Amino acid sequence: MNKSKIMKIFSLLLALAMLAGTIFVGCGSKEPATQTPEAEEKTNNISKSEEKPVTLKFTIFSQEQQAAYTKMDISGTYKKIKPHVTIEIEKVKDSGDFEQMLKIRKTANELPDIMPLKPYMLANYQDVLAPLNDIEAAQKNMFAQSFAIDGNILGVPGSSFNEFVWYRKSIFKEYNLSIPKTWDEFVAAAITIKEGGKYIPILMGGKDAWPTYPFNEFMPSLEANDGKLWNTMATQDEPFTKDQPFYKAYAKIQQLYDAGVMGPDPLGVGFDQVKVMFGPKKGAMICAGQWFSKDIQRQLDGDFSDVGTFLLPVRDNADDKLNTIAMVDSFFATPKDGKNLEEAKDFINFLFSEDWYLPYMNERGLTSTVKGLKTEIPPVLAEAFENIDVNYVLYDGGNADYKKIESAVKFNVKKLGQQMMTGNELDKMMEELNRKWKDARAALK
Amino acid sequence: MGLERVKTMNRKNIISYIFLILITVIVFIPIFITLFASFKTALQLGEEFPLKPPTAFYLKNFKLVMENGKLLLGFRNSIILVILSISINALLGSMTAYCLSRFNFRFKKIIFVLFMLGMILPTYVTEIARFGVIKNLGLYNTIGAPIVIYAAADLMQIFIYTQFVEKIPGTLDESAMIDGCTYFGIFWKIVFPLLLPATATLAIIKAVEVINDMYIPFLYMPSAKLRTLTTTLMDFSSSRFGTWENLSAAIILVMLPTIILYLIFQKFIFAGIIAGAVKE
Amino acid sequence: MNTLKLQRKIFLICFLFIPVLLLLTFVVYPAIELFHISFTDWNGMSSARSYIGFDNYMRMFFNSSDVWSVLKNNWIYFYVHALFIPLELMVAIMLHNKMKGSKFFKTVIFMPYIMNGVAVSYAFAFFYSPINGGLNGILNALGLDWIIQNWLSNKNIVNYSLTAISLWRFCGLHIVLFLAGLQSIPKELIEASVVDGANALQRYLKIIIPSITRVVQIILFLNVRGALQVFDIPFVVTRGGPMNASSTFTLLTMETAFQYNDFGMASTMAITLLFIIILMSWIQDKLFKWGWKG
Repeated sequence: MNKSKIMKIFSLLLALAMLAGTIFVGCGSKEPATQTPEAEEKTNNISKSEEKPVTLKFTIFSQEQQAAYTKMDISGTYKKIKPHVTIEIEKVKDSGDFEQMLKIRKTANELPDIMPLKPYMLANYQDVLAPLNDIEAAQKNMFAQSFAIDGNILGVPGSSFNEFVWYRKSIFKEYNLSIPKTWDEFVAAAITIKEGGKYIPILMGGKDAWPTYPFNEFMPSLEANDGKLWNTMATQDEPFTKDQPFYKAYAKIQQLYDAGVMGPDPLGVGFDQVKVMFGPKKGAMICAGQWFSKDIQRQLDGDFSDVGTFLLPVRDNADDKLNTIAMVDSFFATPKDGKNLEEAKDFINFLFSEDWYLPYMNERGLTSTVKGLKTEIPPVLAEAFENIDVNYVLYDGGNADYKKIESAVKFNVKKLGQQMMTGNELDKMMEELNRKWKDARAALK
Repeated sequence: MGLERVKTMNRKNIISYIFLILITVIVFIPIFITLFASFKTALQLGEEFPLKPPTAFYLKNFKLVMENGKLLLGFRNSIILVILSISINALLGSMTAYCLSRFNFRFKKIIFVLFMLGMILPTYVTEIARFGVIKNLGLYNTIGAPIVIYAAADLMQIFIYTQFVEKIPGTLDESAMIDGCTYFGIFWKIVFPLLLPATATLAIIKAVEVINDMYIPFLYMPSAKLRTLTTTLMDFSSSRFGTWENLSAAIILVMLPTIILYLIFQKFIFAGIIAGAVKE
Repeated sequence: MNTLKLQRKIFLICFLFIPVLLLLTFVVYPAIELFHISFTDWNGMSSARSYIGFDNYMRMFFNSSDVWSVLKNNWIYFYVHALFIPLELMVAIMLHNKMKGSKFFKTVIFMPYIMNGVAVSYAFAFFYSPINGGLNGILNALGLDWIIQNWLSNKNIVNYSLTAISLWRFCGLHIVLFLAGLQSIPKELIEASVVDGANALQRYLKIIIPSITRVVQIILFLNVRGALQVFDIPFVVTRGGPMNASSTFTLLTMETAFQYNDFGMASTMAITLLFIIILMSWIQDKLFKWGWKG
């Protein structure tokens, strides 16, 4: 590349000038030491093996994932299989920072070799990801094909999980509540607890915006029974109209938020502040995914006897099937221009190999996505599915068409959740969304 | 001095004291709350009055941060970064300031304007454009990336050095010249050693700045081996996985080095600020 | 003499080469590149970017209400800080009057400035918490519970809560800067005015301020730059929420780039910010000079 050549000459000049400044010191005698040590940390232990040593950069943003990898020594384990490959884990704070980093690194073609993408990121990076259709891990995966873009599998999903309402059994008992079967019953139960005045009915860290996702992100899809609702909406001019599923779902959410069942100031607290109230029994319910079990384990020292789960009852009638989200996550992907494409593919295969995958999934408490490999469901989660007619809605983060509209409208369902908590008028909000959506679609044509 | 004057002086002093003590309290409250929180358990944190001192020295939070966060590694990297940055900035800063304050030449004004541009260029977003440069120079994921960025645009160091260069009489240069010294010789043998107090000032201010910076290391040194103190802090701040008592311990540990530096070397920091502020 | 001139030239070139090269590479070039991107529709991802002229600028000026509504939040930081400047000068004068313990107070007052901004912001996020937060706890203890507000979730209050953090961090710097200015005023000048029977306010205006114009200018410039670029406080404490109620220009720029993939627009915003800072500093400077020198 021409540019990089210029840069090299540039840096050479820089070094030369640096030297020049120190050479012409004049008037003899000792010169002050001005050499600037270039810190280059290259521990190139050239092994005599036939294959060239390779370092795969693996960027993650989940602390649980990092903890599990450290505990199970992923680099060491892989070294035993492929001695010439070094796995270098880079951990960033959260998915927001992760995307920011990817985007800036992309501009310089410096993406990590392995990335665990969230489903909504797939469309964002479809131009830079390598198709993985031919690798074993993709072929034996139950969900990979469903998320293929133009027939290309760009990421192999590492885990699947469900969403739950976690609740304290003793509080439900205290107020004589049974597990709610419909949305109205759910709101009514929360109101009963609120009227008791002892506990916060639903713990919500609204300040962080993302904790609204079980409602504001997932409920439209549940209402529509359409995991690809975003894609459907991308084909419509006014998807926020009254008879549409999005509106119906949001009307339900508004009903819940207006009931004032999420503590005195849900927008003033972050998730980290409310989640620690579940253990000491200051709150009765919290809506979160399977991943939350790790937190409870920590808070209650593994004692789940007073903790129960049920599925968020997004239905009007107890006789209907109950739609619930099946979320597939951690799409392991690799850039198509990566220097170590083949090694990266091999590593992804390793991540899904039985000997690594099963112990890892059990460590994390997640559900398998691999055909023929079964992970245990903990009893606390199993009870949510008892005596219930469940219909799984496989959530999709949206295709490229949707992404374009999303960007143009600055459509952010989690921020809409915040807006609804401030008691905003729903109809006005929906009208405005309709207008912006229509404009964006017209502009993009 | 009349008795009347003394009385009003005293009354004024009392008002001043009340005011200053109030400010002191305001400064310390958030720090103490964080400090106390770092010694508490999650349960205590949820129930106790935030300004109640911890009853026991519960050290588990600190232990967790030190171990999980690999804080010692972060500390080591921050120190290396600080030392290298200070050396390079002292060198380049003194050279630039000497040239700009001792000589008149054609591009002097332009160079000043360029330094000003560095001061007002919006941070963060500019990295989109800067990243490519760093990458092409082969500095990405090395400690070199933050070093060149810190060295490139720092008007403060120019101010500090200019202030001190102007205090060195020009006659000193002239007499050295008569003794047969070259310009290079004058700078290295005479000027640079005389600038030592300015260098001390710069070193402390730069150290605080470099230790506190988070965005540049986050972006340009993602490798786990190159974690700094502040990027380690980020680990404990995720609202989904983090907890407040651990984060408090991390905050305290990250703040500690700069506070210690400040308490010991505050003289130099103030000197630097004066240099920047009073220079005409 | 000729060789001396040549030597001088070589010396200057050698010494200034690296600093200028660094400036050009890491400051000037990115600035030009940013300017360049602002005329494209680049999404930050694809290799394709096409030139769209002034479209981004037009869109920002005429069709982006959010850009202008968050600029109002920056304005809050600016004017609250500006209102505090006289108070800061007053504290500096108190410290200047060498009383017992003034060194200690100076140390304390400046301390927030050297602390890690992100760490401080986290500490304040919990200070404002409605659940067992420090502020509400103190107000309760003092019997002032009627003051308690939704510090971070009330749209009309949140920006002031965040500005308070900014005051906590930066007032100390301003005070020390003023102090530096005061120390440069000859003592006789102030004493003379006391003998003349000038009262405190007159002294303030007539003697002190004109002799510390440079410090005042620096503080005004720092205030403009700081208020317009404020990022880490709202980013850490509220992420700009609820909705965009506490977002700032830089925060929105970052969101535009990284969340909504509109790097062209983000660059446009960055360039605009650059010009706003220059313009505001210039106006402020002119106003100040006009006000004090007639």
